[in-house]
Amino acid sequence: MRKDAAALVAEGLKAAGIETIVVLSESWLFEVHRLIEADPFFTVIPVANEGDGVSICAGMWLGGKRCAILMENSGLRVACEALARLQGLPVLLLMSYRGDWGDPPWWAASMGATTEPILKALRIPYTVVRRDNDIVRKLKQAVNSQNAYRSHVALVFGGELM
Amino acid sequence: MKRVDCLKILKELTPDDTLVVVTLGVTTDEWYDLGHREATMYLPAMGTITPVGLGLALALPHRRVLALDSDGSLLLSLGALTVVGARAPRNFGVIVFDNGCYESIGGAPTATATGTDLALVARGCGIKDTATVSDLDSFRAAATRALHEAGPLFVAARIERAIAKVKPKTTDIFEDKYRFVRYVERTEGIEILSPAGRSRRDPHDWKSITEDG
Repeated sequence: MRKDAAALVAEGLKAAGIETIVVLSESWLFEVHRLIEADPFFTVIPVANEGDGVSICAGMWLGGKRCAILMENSGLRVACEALARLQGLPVLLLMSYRGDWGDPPWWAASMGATTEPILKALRIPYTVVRRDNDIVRKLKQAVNSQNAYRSHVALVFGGELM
Repeated sequence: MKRVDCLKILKELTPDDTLVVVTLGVTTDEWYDLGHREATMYLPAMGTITPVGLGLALALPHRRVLALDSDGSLLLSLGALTVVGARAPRNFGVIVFDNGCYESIGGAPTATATGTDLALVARGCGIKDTATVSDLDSFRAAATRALHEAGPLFVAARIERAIAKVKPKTTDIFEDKYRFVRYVERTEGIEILSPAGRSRRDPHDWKSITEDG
């Protein structure tokens, strides 16, 4: 992600009151990870598996703590079972859109092809963020939607921000 | 050592305000049959018990949290132990009922039947305090530590294959969630589920509109 866009993500997380971020670091969102790790406002919890990360977020929700998981969209595939089983314990998913239109590597193609169909299959409301101007607003809205739907919700950061 | 006897000891030892996250299958039914506790969250979700318990412990560091996991479930999410080791929440304990098999679905062996040592795995993940127990006196001592001493403590409780004759729990994850969350809200004085109607209009709005109009 571009540094200016990453700064907006950090700003949006603060505006949304999301202090705890569970992370499995990856290339497109690395700049966001670096920023939040360096900012004492945030508590960053690295995990080795996005499914475990989703479960940790669900546990934090049960305890009334606002948090999100930051991951590559391939992590959505890893986390499917936890997300499906823990329906009703809302988790906020923040992910890159690897394999988005114009993303060069061949290995990312399957990520792009499966991301939105998986979100739909899991009945997870989501929006794709493509403009810098939308980042802060959509992060704040994501928390509202998470509360309103009583459901996992996802923000997918598109290639335009990279 | 039978799981149901361990659960009876736990029920007796566990303070009412200790938050307990319980694994799926017959463990759920056996724990429920001993009497419903408001501070229990049942998770019918293999591989999520220890990490959900960890999240709860991190969210409420002043509350004691106990995860009652099983070998089959924990083996699905062993990586979660690396996060327990790294974060080392002092208010968190994990007790794994290890019978070496997937008991609820017919008894096929798990990896602990062929050499995997869960306490050793936990230690390798950075959890300094671990124990393996296989008799009720040792279980009582380990459970007391998990409930009252600074954690994290990981306990592997080696149990025999034995399912107690109890009625299956009839509530689902949604009912369990609402009961548990309302309990946490009440005892913590916090709001987890946002209320509807926060932005209701003034009932005199209509009159003022028509008068203006």
